[in-house]
Amino acid sequence: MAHQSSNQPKTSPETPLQPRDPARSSERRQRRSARKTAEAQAIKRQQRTMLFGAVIAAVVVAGFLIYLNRPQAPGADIVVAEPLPASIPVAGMTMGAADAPVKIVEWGDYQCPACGILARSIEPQLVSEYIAPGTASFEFRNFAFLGPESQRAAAAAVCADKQDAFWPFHDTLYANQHSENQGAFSDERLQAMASKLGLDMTAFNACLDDSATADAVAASTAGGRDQGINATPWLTVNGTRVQNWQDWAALSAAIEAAAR
Amino acid sequence: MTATAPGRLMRAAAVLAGLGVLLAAYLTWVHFNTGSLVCGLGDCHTVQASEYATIGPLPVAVLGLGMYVLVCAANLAGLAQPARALPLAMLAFGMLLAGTLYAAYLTWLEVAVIRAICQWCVASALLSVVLLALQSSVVWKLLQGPLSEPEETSDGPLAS
Repeated sequence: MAHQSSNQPKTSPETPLQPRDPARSSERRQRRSARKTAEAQAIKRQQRTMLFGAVIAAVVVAGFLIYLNRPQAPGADIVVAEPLPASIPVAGMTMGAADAPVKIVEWGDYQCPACGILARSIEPQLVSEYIAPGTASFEFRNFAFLGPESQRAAAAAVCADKQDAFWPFHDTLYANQHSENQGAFSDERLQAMASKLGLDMTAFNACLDDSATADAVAASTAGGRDQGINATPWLTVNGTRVQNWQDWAALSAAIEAAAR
Repeated sequence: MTATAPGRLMRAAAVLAGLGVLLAAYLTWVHFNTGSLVCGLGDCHTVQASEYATIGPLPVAVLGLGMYVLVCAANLAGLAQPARALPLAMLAFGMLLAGTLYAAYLTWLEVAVIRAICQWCVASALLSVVLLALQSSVVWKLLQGPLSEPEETSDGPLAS
């Protein structure tokens, strides 16, 4: 401590009491004020940068999410669905034995993703476990309510039915489901599906262009509305709706009960 | 009076974000409720069953839920820690701006592509717009002056 004290500059005891140089004091005050102003400006700049950064980050994040979730045109490829086993009797839009004790009816829309799940996941199981053995029949009815491509796809299925190719066309439509009303069921793609299934294209195109075909689809949809249908797939087993059709155990139990 | 205004706005934002949490939680429930796997007439099921309802494996409703939870948490944390109120408010503002832009896009998808209007999704989109306006006010007020406790007067330590 003593050593430190000896190093300190020697000042007279009166020094602190001496009046300060007013010019130097003012200069110090000005410098302090300038420093504070500069600090405040730096903080404001930092805040503006943060705000700008938040806006840019938000726009980038939103843009990225939109990019990931953008409507995509369907690819050029057409997937042809596996045909039904030849042993399954087919009569128009109904498959299975006409005298089957269980009648399963689906009101569906070709653009409805849930109908697609039913067609791709549940229908094959229905075919192998209940339709092939003759326990149940399965009828599809058009309820085309999800926009123009739903109506066009349903019309094309009606045209395929006129050439006894309803089920291959129905299953192929569901195998090629894509974003709603983005071209998956454009006329060109519907024609490509019909062509791949070996349909008579002159008859198919004439049928597709016939306003009576569109009217038939509209009438079917209106008929469904009249029966109180307000969602698809609307699945009934001997007239009783099965809402949890995706639960195979529940659907199977409903069919078994109806078969008794 | 002016010093406590951002605090009141932050409380209001937290409450509205809480409402958004309930809304997004319902939409998440609809998405995961397999009993509702249908395309319905004018209800949320068609939209929720649409391929636009998910980004990869992540349901869009869960993104909304996350946004509302974080916005609510950011405002509550800002109230608890006034010194960090501004960065937290800016974080919430950024999330809400991204969420609102994305919600606007999703509403367009409903109208123009999916052709089904989910009333709860639209309600969530409108809520995000209101929240964004509120959060913008919070950020604006905090840029004018730091947050002080409601009890503090303008010459209190936090208001200096």
